[in-house]
Amino acid sequence: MASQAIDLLWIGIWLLGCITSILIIVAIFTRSVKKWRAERRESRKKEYSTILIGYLTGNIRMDKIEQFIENHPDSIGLMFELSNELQNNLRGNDKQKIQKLLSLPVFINHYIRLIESRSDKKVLRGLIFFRELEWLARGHIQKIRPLLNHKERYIVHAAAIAIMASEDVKDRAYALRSLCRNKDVTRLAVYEVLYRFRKRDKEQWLDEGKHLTLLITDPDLPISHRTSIAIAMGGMGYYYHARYLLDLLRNTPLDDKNVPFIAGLIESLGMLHHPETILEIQRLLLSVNSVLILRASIHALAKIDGKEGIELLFHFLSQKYDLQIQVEAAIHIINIDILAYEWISETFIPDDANPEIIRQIKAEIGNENFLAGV
Amino acid sequence: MNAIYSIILVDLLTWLILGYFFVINTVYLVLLVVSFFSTRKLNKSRDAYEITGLFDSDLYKSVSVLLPVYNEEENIRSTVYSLIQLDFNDFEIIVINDGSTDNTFEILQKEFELFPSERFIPEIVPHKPLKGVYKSNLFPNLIVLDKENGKKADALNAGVNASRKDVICNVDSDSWLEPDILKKMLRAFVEDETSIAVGGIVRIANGSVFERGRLKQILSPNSFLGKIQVVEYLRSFLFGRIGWSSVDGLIIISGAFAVFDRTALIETGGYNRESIGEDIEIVVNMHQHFIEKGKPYSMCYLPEPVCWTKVPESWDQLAAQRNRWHRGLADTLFKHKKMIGNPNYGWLGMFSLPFHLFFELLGPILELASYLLFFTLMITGLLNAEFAILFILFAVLYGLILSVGSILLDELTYKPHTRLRDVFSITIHAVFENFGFRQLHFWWRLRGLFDYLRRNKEWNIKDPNPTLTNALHWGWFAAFNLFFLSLLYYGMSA
Amino acid sequence: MKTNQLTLDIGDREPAGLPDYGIKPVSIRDPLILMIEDNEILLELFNYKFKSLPYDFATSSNGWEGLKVAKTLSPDIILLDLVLPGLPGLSVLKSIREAPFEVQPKIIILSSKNREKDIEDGFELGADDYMTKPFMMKEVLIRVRRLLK
Repeated sequence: MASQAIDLLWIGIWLLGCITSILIIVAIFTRSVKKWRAERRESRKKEYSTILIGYLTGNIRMDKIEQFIENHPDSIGLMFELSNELQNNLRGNDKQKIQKLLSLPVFINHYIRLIESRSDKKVLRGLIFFRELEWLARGHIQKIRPLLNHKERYIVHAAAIAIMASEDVKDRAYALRSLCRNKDVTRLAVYEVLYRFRKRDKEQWLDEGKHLTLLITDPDLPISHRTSIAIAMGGMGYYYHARYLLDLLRNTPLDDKNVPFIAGLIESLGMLHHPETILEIQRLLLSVNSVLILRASIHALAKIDGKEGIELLFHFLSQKYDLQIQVEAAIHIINIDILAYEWISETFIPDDANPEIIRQIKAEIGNENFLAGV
Repeated sequence: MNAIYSIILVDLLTWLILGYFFVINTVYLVLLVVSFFSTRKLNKSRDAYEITGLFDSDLYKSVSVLLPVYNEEENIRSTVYSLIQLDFNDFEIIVINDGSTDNTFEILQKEFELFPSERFIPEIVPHKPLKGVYKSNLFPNLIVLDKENGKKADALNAGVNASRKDVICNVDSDSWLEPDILKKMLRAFVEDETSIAVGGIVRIANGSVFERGRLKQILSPNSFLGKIQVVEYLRSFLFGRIGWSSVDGLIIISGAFAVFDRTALIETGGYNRESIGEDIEIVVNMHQHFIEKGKPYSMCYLPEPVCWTKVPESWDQLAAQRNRWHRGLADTLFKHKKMIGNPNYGWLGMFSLPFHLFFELLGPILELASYLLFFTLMITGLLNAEFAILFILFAVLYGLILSVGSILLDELTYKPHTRLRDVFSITIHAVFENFGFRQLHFWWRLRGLFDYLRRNKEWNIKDPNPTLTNALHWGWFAAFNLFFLSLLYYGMSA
Repeated sequence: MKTNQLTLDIGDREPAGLPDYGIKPVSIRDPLILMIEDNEILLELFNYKFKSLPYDFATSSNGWEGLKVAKTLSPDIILLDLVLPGLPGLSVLKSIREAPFEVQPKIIILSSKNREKDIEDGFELGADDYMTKPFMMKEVLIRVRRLLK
């Protein structure tokens, strides 16, 4: 028994010893390879940035760079990275120049190949390239589109963002809808895509808004994403559609599952500064006690500004609300525009407000400013 | 009759100890593998999430960075400077001077041109009274709270009340954050909506070169204790924390860098002022609260180094620190004892917490038992010397695999940052760690456990005579290794 | 909070020496532009651009060092980033404004911080101009030229 155990231990020791040595060797090997790569990259970075700067300042022609990349195919990744770093800091003519460079067939063809490959890692690299392009041809969109049904969430996200460069609002709306069909996509991820959805172009504005309103009411999408889109419409300033959102707010029945959606609509209308929202909030306050809606109302009222809005904002200092709600209202009151001080009056303060909170608000704003209009 | 009983007892104990050893290391090994795969997966999808667009709208999350300080006149300037330089669009820094008795506050006041300010600070979570609120003339997003001395949790609560942003990030005064950490953190929220807590890998700053708030060169610490802790931290963060978080069993987010959703934090009542280890307590508390309320939530660990912290390099301070950590663990497990083994709390209650109770908290007792058994057997002559030595060797090697595995994981996933020399010396220290240090560590933790049972709730137990403690520790170290070597010699010759 | 009496120098010192910029004395040189910025490729871009024009150009990629360079060379224009290693941009700005220069340099902030509040703070601390990233090269040149008049 004892000798058996000892034999077993010996085997174990040998085994563990071997594994440990292999691990150490692999560790040292990876480290050396990585270090070598990093050093090579550093030296190339210098060389390539000189080329790119030469191009930007007009001393190196574009076809020279094209030729360079053709002769050094492995330079393309770093070249793209550096161009991207430059264009992120530039706009106007300088940025257009970089965009023109990135639209060269050497770049496009290389990254189209990556998109079509089977490895997720390469696909992602391809998508990241197209994400940085401001302009996409039909053919590219056709290539990216199938990735919207990819099983990996992050690929779908990257594909949706890449398609946002398309000029055609239908493409963009389609990609957005594909992304939103996935319930696991987060709110912030939807925002990020939506931010790129909007083109800084008045012509498309109405169209974009129309597509978004369709998505908001699309029963196939999870309500959480419809809410996100509604909020983002406010955040991105689709003023023309404020009326529509307002009607939606009026007509959405007030049941539990709709509460976040209603809160989102209020939030959005607040960002659009629509004054009629105040009336709606007043109406809702009669029947609602959901923290989400109360909070959204506070944010909206603070954004809308205006006398009626601020007056209603003070209403939230009432002690019938949770301390958290009172505090939130107080902070927004503190942050209102200085111009508002002229017409704020003591009568705004509800009778059952916490005197300590009122004292602190006055102290922070400064007594001489506060209630100057009295 | 008696002899039979004692043989059975010894046998039982032996099996218990072997079982303990086997289970703990196997769980660690599994965690290491899990951690490897989850890190790889996260690294793969990392670049997919771009967040630049969020900053052009109002739709991102803003951050309040809380920095509690107590008698930090030496570090305070550079720590605050490193926070000011964080690369993020919308954040505020709230420094909470927790009743320092040295010049901490005066230095802050002079360096950052503080002036008294009236700021609305509601009493949402409890803390000791404030003495004053200050703002900086230089940096509009810097706020300093001056308050009466309480514990760290108390100071943090004051910061929570004063904060006005969506997310709370608490940092330690002897830590240094990577400048782009807040952006990385935001990406965690983009990836998972229900995140309420985010942690990050903490590395050891000792030895590295900093230049006025920015890390310049990463080197390993010079001292023996420093190097051993490098291995420890690698293990505990790379597979301990990331591994546990990938199986939803995370119970600790290091206080050196932790991010919490502000609403969730307030909902759970803020930091617990009664606890010894507020960083464990807050996480377990959040688990409990959210599970009981039936709300979906998640906690995650960024698989990237985000924070560099100073660790003690002398025995007495290290002993005090480990003692406190262990008391903190005991305290939290005791406070949440109804969760342990309770299927209502899922994987956490059924596996993670029991594991932490039996293997992490009570581990030192079993280790004590194993040493006692070893000596009894040796004195009574029942010990099979060959078996004992081989077993020790086996145990050391098994432990070494975990250490080397962590080093490898680190090399595989991050930029090459260490020197080859450091990789070697750290590996060697991972071996030496087993002879002397491990036993001391077990002793400190055991004492922590007893201190806790004696209801010693002091945040930090003062060492009456650090010089003596240090000398004793070195003495122990020498004695242990002498003993071990003679044992080895004896075993070899036998 | 503190268990640990060690001092780890988080680099709270001035860098020992400064690189030699080879800048001519004030009397005979072209207008000197100092750019304090940590993005390497931008530094290079501006270096290239300004060197091709009748300007002298110096760079620094660290706030602390940048401040020292500014004090030694007393440039005519400083292009200042706000997020910097070393000293934060706003501190550099304030320190320059408080330093005894013969002629205070004109300071243009060039930063990715683009919120109202940031711009307000920048001007309040004494910046002459504030430009946000992304920017147009030409616009920077035009603004520099205007400030030199």
